[in-house]
Amino acid sequence: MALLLVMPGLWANPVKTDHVEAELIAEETALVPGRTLSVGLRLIMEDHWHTYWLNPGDSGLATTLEWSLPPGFEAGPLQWPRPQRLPVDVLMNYGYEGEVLLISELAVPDDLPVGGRVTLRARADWLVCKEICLPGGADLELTLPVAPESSADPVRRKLFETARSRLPEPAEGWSFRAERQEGSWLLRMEPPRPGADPPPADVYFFAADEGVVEPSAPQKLEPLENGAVLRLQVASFEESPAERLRGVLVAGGDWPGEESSALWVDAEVVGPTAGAVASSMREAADRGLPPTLWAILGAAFVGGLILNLMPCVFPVLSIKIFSFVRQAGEDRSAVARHGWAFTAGVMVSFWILAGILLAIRAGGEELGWGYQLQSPGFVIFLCFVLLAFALSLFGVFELGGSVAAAAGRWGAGAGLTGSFSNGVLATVLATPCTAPFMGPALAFSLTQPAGTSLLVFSFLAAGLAAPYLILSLNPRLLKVLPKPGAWMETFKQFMAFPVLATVVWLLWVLGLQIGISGMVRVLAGLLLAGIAFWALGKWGAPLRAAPVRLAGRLAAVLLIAAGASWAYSASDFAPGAAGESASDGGLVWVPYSAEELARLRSEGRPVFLDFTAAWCATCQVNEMVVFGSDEVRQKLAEKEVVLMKADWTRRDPAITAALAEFGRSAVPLYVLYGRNPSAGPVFVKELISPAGFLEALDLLP
Amino acid sequence: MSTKLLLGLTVILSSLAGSGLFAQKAEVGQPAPDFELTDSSGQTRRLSDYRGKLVVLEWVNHECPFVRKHYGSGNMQELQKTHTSDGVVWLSINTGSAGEQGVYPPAQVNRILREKGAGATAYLFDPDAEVARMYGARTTPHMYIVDREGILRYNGAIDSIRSTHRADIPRATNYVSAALGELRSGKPVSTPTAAPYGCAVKY
Repeated sequence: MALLLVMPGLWANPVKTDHVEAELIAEETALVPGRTLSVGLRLIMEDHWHTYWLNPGDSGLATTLEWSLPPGFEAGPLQWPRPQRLPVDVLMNYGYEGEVLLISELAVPDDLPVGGRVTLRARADWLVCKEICLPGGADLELTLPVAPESSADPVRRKLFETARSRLPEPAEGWSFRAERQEGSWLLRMEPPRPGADPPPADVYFFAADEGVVEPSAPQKLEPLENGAVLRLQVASFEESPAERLRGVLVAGGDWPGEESSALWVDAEVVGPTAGAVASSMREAADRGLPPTLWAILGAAFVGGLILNLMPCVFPVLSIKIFSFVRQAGEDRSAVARHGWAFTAGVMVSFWILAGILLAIRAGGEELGWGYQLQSPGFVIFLCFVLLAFALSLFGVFELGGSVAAAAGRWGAGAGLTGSFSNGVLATVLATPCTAPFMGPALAFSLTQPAGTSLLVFSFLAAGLAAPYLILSLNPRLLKVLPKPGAWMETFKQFMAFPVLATVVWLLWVLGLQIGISGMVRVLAGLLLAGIAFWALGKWGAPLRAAPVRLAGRLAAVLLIAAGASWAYSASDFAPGAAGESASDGGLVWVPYSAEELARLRSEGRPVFLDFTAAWCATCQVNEMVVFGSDEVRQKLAEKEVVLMKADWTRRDPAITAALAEFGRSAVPLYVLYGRNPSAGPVFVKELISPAGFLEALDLLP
Repeated sequence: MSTKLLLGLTVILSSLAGSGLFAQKAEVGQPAPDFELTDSSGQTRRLSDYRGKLVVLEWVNHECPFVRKHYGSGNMQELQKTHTSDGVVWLSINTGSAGEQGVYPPAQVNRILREKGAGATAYLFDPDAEVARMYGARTTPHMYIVDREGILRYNGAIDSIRSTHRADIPRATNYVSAALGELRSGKPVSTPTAAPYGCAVKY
């Protein structure tokens, strides 16, 4: 103390202005060349008067400090202690009452000559308010000796330590993520260890940037199983959505596992593309804009129509055409009823699918459209069904009594149940194919309440069934179809081949899912089933005597059971080298991995990300057509594009998540990344042609 | 049938009532909420009186350093005179109950306006902060522009430099003049909002 009195010239006197006393202070007594000295702007406000923080809130101005330093000196940015909430009626300000010390680290040049004195100058400007506001400012200076050593000034050091204790700390254990959801920011916080202590009470987030979070809006903390999420209202005067959520997160007590009650948060807003795609649709949907909903429903209907042409549905068309050809002979009302039965079959199947997807969504799992074919068991089942179908078309066995019904009961359209099952079969086969419009319609519908989802699925079903319903209701059109005759038998037998082609395709899918040995096992099972159906046809026909029929049927059942169980035993088989890079006629595909993608992107390598699946026929056709083209291969090599395949054949959760990030739940999805690491992804349309793809490559950033 | 009708009517009526109870905050692109306030010469003024004209709302508090920046430099008066002579209606609104800082009785207001050479069409009193609430006014100054069809077209700061320094005025972009110019020539407003700056409005 006495020392201070003896050397008055070393300390600048505080400047008194209206309601604020300002001074520049240093933590130590001298400047040491080459070292850093903590200096600070100290503001002492009159009672009930306040100055402002980095982000002043609804009104006010942050304090500023502009240095005028001798050459060689460098002052670091101001370190702001945690602010206080200063409500002004319905408005909210962030600032300080009482006093505040804004610290700056001053780098002292190495070559500063010892023994002299240096004067540091700065201009401080602030706004101090109680009910009225007064802009204030002061030209401040601080003179210090230059010495080889310095010691702490006990009085000042205390002020610095207090200020430092009120500085927000970066979290050591807690991690933060930010998301944007319509008019809210979601700040997710995860504790250091899963299930550890929840955040303390009275959590509040002070956004450091203006125009991001609405200062006067209440903040809602929603506890989660692991941590919590703080819901913040987006600022009314937001100019464009921020990419980072930065600020101070304070709590009533210390954060568990941290040493402070104020944490500095700097969280990137995750999933901008996906967020934009998915949430913009959610936003539009939540606004309840009828036009958007109708657009989606319209798209779903058209999607359903187009589904009729998809490679996996087209074979079933043959069955449908046949049934209508037969019905051309029946009376009009019966035909109409068949049409309705078919439509009902399609509609009900879609509802069941929607119901299953919704139930699973409610259960929290991530699933997408076409997921059924990701399970080998289901594919095997389909193979058996279709084999039975094809054999019945060949005439190997009959699933019914009368000759009129000899078309084969299963899906060939005899009777209303036949038409209904036709509809079901059409749906089942349609699911793995994604028509261009189905992707967004489904992504949208799965984010909606159940009623809307069902509506979308209904429109999809309507689109799928529409051509046939129209045919069945309009007798004139039926006249266009040829009259029944002997040719029908030949036609019926021939129609077995497209069905078998579908089985071949399913076996290929199986091969990718369970490997060659597995596929052979399934083939063997199918062989047994073939024998079973033949036995059924030979000895189980109604024309035979009862005991023979019984024996025939029993034999068939046993054989099918044996075949099926043998086939199913293969459903757990692991495929071959599915994880390695697959070389495909000169093109090298790298399997998808999020880390690898990030690495390639950071290196500025262009990447083509292909979300595909073996059971997705659209995907296969696209890949064959586009990558079979020499021009495409050449251009890919030219541009050094890395080909990355995200194979969803076996329901890989990492790939489901990656799809969801792009706002999708179905394949195919084609994403192109250019050389620029910060440029966003480019989506290539589902039905791509070599020309379209070349164009997309040319336009790559 | 009648139960359904009754239910439907109840839903419609209650939603109408609800929307009336919670007055909508003014939003750019939406109709500006109508209001009725008394001015400093005792006259009652309604926003709807000015349908067919461009209207500027200026939240004011003559003790606020940010307002003083614009009045002390003559900037605000010039804006008021220039635009009112072009047919714009300029309404200065002072929110706050009697006795609060910055709230003066009418005679004193008129004297201040005369001294400063203000050129607004009228100076309105908003003692219960009703209009401030309707518009979500935050600061003084906080500017709003309503077009000839009664739609709100601008909501925000008077200009682009948030400070109390008069020297910043010529360097800043004046959003009000820009918007008025665009509205007059039938163009869309290029900057319809800008975060306002100033002292807090006294609710």
